[in-house]
Amino acid sequence: MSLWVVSTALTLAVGWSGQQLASSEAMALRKIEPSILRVMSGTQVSGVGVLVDPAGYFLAHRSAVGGPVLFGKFSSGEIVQLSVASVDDVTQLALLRTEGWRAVNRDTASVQAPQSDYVQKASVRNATRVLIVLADRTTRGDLTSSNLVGVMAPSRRGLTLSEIRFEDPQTAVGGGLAFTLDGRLVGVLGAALDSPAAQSPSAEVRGLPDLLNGGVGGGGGGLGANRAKAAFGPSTMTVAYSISPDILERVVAGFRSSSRMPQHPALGLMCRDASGQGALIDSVRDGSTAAQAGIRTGDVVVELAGNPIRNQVDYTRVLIKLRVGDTVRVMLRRGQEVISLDVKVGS
Amino acid sequence: MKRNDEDKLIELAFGELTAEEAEQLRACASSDPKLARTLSQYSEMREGLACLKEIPEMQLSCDRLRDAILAGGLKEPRSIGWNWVGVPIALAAVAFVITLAVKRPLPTMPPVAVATPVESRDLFDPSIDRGTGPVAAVKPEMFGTIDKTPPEPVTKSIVKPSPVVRTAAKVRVAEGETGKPVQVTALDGGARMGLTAEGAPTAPLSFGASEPAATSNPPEATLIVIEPDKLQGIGAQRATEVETSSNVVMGG
Repeated sequence: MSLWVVSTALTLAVGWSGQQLASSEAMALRKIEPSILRVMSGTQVSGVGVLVDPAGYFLAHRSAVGGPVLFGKFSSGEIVQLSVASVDDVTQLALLRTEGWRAVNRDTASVQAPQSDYVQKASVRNATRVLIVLADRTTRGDLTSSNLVGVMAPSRRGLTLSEIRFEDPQTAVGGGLAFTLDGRLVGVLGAALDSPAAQSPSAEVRGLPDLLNGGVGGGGGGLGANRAKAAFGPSTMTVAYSISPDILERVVAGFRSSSRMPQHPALGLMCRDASGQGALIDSVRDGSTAAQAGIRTGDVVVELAGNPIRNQVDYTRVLIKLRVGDTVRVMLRRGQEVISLDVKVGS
Repeated sequence: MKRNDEDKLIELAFGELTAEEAEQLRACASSDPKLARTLSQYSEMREGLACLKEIPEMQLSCDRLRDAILAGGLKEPRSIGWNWVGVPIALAAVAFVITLAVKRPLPTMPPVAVATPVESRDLFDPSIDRGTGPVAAVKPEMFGTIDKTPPEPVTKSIVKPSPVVRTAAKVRVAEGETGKPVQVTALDGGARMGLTAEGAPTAPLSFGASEPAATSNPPEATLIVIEPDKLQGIGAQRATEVETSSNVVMGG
């Protein structure tokens, strides 16, 4: 009986630690793998990048481009030299350029950002299963929400975020790429929840026989304690955040453009929650389109582009969906009066 | 060996031959090693069979085994113990139950009927014939004047109090006339709570100091603030959930 239990435990541990993927997940990985490279800074793998332009441009998180000399390594073993083409400060995403390499020479495909409403329908209850490609491994996770509102420090820029949850004990997740099972990019992990419950090491598993902790027959060759805990105990639950697919699509489109830089809609306003309904304008950036239109600090935005604004969160949600260059109507409450101004959406 | 000889040996071993026949056969067996060996085997068999009359307790036998089981009772159940397979399963089950319990709204307790001292009145009512059984040798006069009219049964609905620091409420049920509401008063300085006979509270139920009503946050009030510093070991920027967005400045 004890021998059977031990052998089962060993089997589970080996399989678990490798995060063996289901057949559908493995198929999805095979499909996207040619478009992915590991970004290396020196001899260290600093992140992952995904092909977004057949001309040899890869998308990666800014955290992957810390070193002075960058290389990219494909799963086939091929190595290419990389350089930073541009960095989007708003989303912290970077565009990497290869030297002397083009995708047309290989059987690779650009990764299309998903349709905006594909993931919008996802909710906590209807989480979308995603593959998460990390620097050293691939794991599975769940896209539980794509409609959160986040604030990027220190710019205080508001963005919509996706929440992705997965079990991944003690592994760097920054810069990880999230794909749906049909091979579409849905996120680039940039932040993780700082919570003891979310980030604490896996719990102790009591009753582990010494066989699993110390090795077989007292000698070497058995499972390590951490590996055994990871196999049988509750694993670390990572709650990570990525920019939402809407914004990701915009970023990819911007990186593909001739300017190689995405443009994010902005009016030049910083808001906070008003005492009543509306977003109280805390500051107006000099030279912005809002300043040019006559919006002042202290005004309360009550409507933007026909959408009622209850607070600064609503303001962010509506602003994100605007297009640079459009002109929108802004309804403001200034003292006792309500005024309407037309403002051009800048970047 | 012939069958007939073998039968004779068996009869000899079991003492079923006459003395003369036994002596003749022993003489034959002494000269024939095979016969002697066979006779010896049958003799041992007889001795073994004789020993079966005193079967030891531990000798396996269907009847004895059954008797031993019935006499000894069932084996003690093996303690579950904390084995490394059951622990995570048990933890997951407990977490699941707790999650369900937390998500479920607290149920409102059903109306509770408060016992009335009607029975005590019956004990002192001399008009009630209790037969010849033992009765309490007490008289109503010993307890002063008692209103013999049964008060209306009071039912009160217990509602969930506000989440504040509560002290034990001491209540006093005032006697009331029939048909009139019974006043329930909190004695510990808490707010007065009035209840009608129907049980509907006429005043908010509170104990001690009450906290101001919580402002309702808009549905999207939870924000994720992403800081530039990175989490150690994770390699990702630090994200913090902010429950209320009131003081968060953001825009674009």
